Amino acid sequence: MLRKETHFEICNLTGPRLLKVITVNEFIQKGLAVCAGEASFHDLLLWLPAATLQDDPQLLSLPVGGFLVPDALTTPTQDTLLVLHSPKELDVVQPGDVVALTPNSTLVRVLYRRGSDSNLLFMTDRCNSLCLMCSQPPKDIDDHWHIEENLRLIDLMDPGEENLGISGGEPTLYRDGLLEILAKCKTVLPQKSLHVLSNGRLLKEPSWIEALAALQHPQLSWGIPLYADNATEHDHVVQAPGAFSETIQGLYNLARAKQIIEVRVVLSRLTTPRLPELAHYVFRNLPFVRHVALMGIESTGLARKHHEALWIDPLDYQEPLSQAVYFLANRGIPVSIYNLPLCLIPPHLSHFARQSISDWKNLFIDACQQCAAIEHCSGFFKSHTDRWQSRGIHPLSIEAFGAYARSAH
Amino acid sequence: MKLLDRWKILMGGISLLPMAGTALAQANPLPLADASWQPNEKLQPPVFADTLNPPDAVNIYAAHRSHSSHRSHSSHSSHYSGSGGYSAPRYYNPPATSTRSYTAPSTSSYGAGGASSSSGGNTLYQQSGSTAGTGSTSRTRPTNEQKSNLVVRVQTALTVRKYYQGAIDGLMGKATRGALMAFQMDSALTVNGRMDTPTLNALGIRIP
Repeated sequence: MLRKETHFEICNLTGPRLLKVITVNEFIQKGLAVCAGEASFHDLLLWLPAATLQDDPQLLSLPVGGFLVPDALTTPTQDTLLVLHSPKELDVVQPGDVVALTPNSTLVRVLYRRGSDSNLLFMTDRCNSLCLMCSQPPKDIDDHWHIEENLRLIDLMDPGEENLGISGGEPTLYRDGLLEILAKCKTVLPQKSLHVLSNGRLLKEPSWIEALAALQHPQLSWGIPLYADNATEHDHVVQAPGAFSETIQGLYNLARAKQIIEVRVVLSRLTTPRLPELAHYVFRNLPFVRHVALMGIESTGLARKHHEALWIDPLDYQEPLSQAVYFLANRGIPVSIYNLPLCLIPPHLSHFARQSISDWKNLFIDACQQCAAIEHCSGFFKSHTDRWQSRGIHPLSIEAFGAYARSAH
Repeated sequence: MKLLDRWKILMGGISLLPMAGTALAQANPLPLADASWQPNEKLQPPVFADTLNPPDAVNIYAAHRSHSSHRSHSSHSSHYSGSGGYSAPRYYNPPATSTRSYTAPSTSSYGAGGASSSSGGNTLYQQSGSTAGTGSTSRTRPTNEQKSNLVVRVQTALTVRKYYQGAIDGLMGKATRGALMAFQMDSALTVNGRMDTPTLNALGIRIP
């Protein structure tokens, strides 16, 4: 797990900045081509270890936006240069990353991490649902500025093939902003595949069909949650009357726009009893779905408040999970199990399990240290606590893991 | 085949078996180093001809008269024999505009992202001094800013290599040109004080 923010000593920061970290060598070799989109030298934050700085002090005359010294800084610098030094955690900010700085704060946020598979364009804190297990409870604030930040962030990312998530909150709340970002991604980052997480409710609006069809992004997919095969239960989970119907209409509109669709189900005491029926519903009514993700719950945010209503030991839903997985898999619908450690999944389901937890919030607990499967296991969310720990957590021996490996066919 | 030879082969075969100890394997009378193990000129490490920028890369910064002259560097070698040219750096001549004739500029993407719409009103972050690539960039001549940006990178590369100690300011002045020529001299390149493709290759600079 590598956190997404850390503290630096920051000198001479006058306003909020978004900066691309770059080494001297990469600056010489590639110049502004490290940024996928439009950029100038003032968008660059030169990575200058103290030893390099001592060797070539005149590098400080480079007309870049600022300098990042990943060690303690001994010599005082001019009082006009933006200089970051003495990071609290060294590994958090690395060359290639894009960082955000705010005045009067020592916090440096990593908005883009080079080489990570979990980079995210965060769109908003607002949401039109209030799911019982929401990991990021919505805030009713005007945060339209996220759009501008993301448009700028897109320019400063590395070009090339990578995955990029778009999430929130509910990203479709800012319809024009989202469409602008999707269009810009297509122009500036055509090789990056996008995955939008949305509850799909606003997509019931037919104008999305035309907008998305016109966009024609080659690698755009949508992850839409569906929690039951009926409106009553789904609406209860998302705490919004009418949500089921809206989401289904949204799913159909996405299909009309020929979008790639994934259905996501968070596994809880509320959703697991009718999991086989939900699988049946998806197969019958949403045949265009390309992937179904059955996801272990993330024990943070509102989920902690609703522990009583939501918690079910994964050992206790193995049967419905197994039925749903095989129902879909046997009918040719790709299906995955997310966020569940391998020791909680019967061996015959293990080849559906994925290492799905974003790297910056993924960890392994003490019980995992002797486990033979740790390299292949999803592990836990960093929010994991004893209250959310299954009675089935145990290290797998090499022999036990062999049974998992043999059943993977 | 003589019996002795057969015996040798048999011994060689046995040495592959696990039961044969290493001592036996090393006692194998077959010569381990025959002629094919001698150093051979053909086995020298390969020298790759690939460079950062291909020889026919469009380098609008080289300030050459025409595109085709990249191939005729040998004709420039007379410059090289000049009496220690780099000790007295010449002034930079602005590129001649009249005779410039790039006929078929390949669609290389310098000024990348110039097509994307820079949606106005980006008030959140201090907009950097000026936006590169906006406005109509001609394919045959760099804008002042593009040229200055490349000079900054050349100055940085020369600084790291200890050829240049001045300020990194993006201006091709006497000191920068002198440092560039010194570098060209030491690297057995044509000493012309220009940011031509071989020089950029030697400095590790990809043409923007």
